[in-house]
Amino acid sequence: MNYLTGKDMVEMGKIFVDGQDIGNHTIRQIRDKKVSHIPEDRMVDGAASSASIAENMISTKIDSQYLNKGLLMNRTAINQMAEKLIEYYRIKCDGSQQLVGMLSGGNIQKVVAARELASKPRLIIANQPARGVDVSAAEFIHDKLLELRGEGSATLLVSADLNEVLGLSDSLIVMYDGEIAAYFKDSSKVSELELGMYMLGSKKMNKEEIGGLMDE
Amino acid sequence: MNKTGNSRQFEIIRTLAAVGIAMAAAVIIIFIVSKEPVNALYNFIVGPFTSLRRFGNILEMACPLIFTSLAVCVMFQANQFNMIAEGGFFFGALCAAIAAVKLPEITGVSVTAALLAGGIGGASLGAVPGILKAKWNTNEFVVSLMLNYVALYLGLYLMNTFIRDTNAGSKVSLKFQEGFRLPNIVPGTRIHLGIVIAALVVILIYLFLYCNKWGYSLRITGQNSKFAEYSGINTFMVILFSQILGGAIAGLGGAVEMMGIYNRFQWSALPNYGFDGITVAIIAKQSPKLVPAAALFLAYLRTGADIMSRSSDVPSEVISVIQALVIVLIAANSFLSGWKHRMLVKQSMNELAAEGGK
Amino acid sequence: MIFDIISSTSFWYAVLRVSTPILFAALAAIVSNKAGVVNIAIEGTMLISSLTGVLFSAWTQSVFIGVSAAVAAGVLTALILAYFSLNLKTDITLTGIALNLFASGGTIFLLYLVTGDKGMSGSLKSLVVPSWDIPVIKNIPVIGEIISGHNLLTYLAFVSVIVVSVLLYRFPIGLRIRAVGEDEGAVASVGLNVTRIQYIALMLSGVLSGLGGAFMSMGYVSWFSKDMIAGRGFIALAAEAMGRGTPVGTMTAAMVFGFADALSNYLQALQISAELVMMIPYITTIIGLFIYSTKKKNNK
Repeated sequence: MNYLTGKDMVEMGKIFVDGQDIGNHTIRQIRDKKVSHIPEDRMVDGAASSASIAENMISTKIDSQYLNKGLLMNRTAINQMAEKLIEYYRIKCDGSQQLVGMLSGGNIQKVVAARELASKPRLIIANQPARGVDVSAAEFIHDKLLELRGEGSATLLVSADLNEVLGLSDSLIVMYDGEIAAYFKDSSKVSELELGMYMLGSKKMNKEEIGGLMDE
Repeated sequence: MNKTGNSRQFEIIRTLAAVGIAMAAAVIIIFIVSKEPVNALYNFIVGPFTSLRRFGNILEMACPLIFTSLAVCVMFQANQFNMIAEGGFFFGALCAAIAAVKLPEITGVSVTAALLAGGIGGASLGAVPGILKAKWNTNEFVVSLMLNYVALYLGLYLMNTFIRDTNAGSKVSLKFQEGFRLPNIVPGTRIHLGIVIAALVVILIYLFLYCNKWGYSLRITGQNSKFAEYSGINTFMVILFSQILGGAIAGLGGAVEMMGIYNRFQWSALPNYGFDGITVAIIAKQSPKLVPAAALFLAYLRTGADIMSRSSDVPSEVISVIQALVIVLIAANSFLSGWKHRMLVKQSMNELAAEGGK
Repeated sequence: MIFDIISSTSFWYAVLRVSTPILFAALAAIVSNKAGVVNIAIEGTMLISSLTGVLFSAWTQSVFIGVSAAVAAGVLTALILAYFSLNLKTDITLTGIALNLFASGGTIFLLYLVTGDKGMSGSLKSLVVPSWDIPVIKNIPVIGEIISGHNLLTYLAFVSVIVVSVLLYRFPIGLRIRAVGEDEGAVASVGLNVTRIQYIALMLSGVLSGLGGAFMSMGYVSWFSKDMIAGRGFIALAAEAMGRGTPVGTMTAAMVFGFADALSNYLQALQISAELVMMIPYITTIIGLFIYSTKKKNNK
């Protein structure tokens, strides 16, 4: 995950996004390629709890022409954007200036999702997006991911929640012990039991079956 | 009132309570210590207002405090506990002094040159802990404290070697050329143009921190550096730049002080404005908006203490007690938190009741 | 020229002497750090203790009471630090800064009140801790001159390295202190009071700081003067970091700084610009921290 999102530099092998090797790109450069990331630990990586909702929402967009007026930031544009996102994502709060730390877990995740998904990214890396989140917020986020998939974004969903994974994914990769253990092009054809066996390492696909993944 | 507004109101009350307790402690100490406590207290509290010159002292002292506390605000907001404000101030003053003695006098440009020299001197100092922290995660607190001493001795060495007035009785520099000095703006006091420059810098720093994207990056990095990294912000540059900027502001402050109040460099020890700047920054909760008021307050306290020490038997160091108490109480997160908790609960109950009634 | 200095036994005698306060302070830093509490206020604590030692030894004309009072003052200061940072939850760095500020002004204030002296305890007949010419050892050539004849507190400082080691690694309280520093949650879950253990660590830190302060005003020199600790409390923090938190490593680091300090004293006597020379210990500390951080980063 760290390699994909730019936290660590790749030493061996290559990672391609849109045909470009991003192995040693900085996080900034990766984001500039329209890659978004919903992190696993929202309180550590995904949000600044002592900053306002509005400030949290612009953290990845500070260079945007739309949000800046010359040397100064365009407060009205920022607050407008924040308010629209709050309404659209149905975030329960006391306005865009409220500190993120005061929100519930589900609402904080919605703030993160709003920031990451609103820019219509080409690749979304979603790491346990519904963990610790109430049911309605989780559903909301899942719907948004599907919506974006419909509009052409690619999503890499990382999760330990089988329901989430089976419900959302078109295709599945199972990892065990740091290696790819299985690849299913069509997730609707896999049973939970089979998945479980791969997850526990009792079964492992050979190179040919996984080869299908490389062609995709 | 919404929850954010309540929070701010609470913070104001807490700050006032902290200051109140500290002042009360000082009053108690004065009563215990002095043979004429009422006289001492009168001098302390009313003294600064009893003459134009004394009132002027408040503004004169507030000026350097504004600079050093702004420097501290910038660095603390980036979560860098860099103490270089003291050394930066001293060294900046020295650099300006050297410029004022050695450079050719050119009308209109000279003052700017001296102030610029101060800013650059301070910035270079701030860069040392800055680079060490950004690249190797060296503890900027200890490095900057050590560097303060280095700045002191290096500065004195440079003064003695390059601009020392060998005819003078003590270790002071040659006189500054008049074209480099900041003019006096209130006759009868020593208030100089520097106070206007200070006000300008306050506004600039406020705009930088709250209305500019780099200032935003600085603040967000200070609040959660992992989040800043993850969002693509270049935290390396933020860590480095915040300390360089802090040093520069402190250096500028030193230059302003030297060019405004003195006509030769005569300090033989660190003047303590940097450390006082920390107190001011904490009272101002690291916000540039509150710095002028906090600076004026501390300047008032110091002036009062000075007057008290000269006209009664209480030494001015009693101020240290106030300062220390103010810092710990204001920065104490648990101070009055029990009360805040009760207030929050009460407010929530009221909201629930209102909704229930609908 | 520097070689002449280094090859003289009196220089190395001076190194041991000058390292004493840094060593005490560094040991104080170790103990509190092990409990996860960074004691920024060692500098201020030492200053307060140094004044207390002078005041009490002059008042009672007893060295023992003077030193004990200094130690008590160190513990008291540590308690104040503990209360504000552990109970009121002020950020420990800020509390430390506040305490140092308080110590700087408060000591001058108190001195003036008690004696009328402003900034230096000139009029006080304060005592000095005696030195000890170790029998037998003092007659060994070279080594004898370096090791024997030191102030008792100097010997105590080096003995304290062993005491602190034993305390931290062989006694239950030491284990608890280190456990708290590693994982507060785990300690709490076993039913132990984390705050109380941190209080104890800080108090031990206060004892050591107190001894360091006592040495400054009752051994290094025989008076108290304004801000006389001159940053040694902070240099000690660097020494602790560079010694990787081990008592022996820290002792080595403290002696490196002692070397720089002694060198600076000797060079001053040699007509080299006093100011340049006085920078030496502080620059050494910065370089030391720099080397330590680069090594740490490379090891990652």
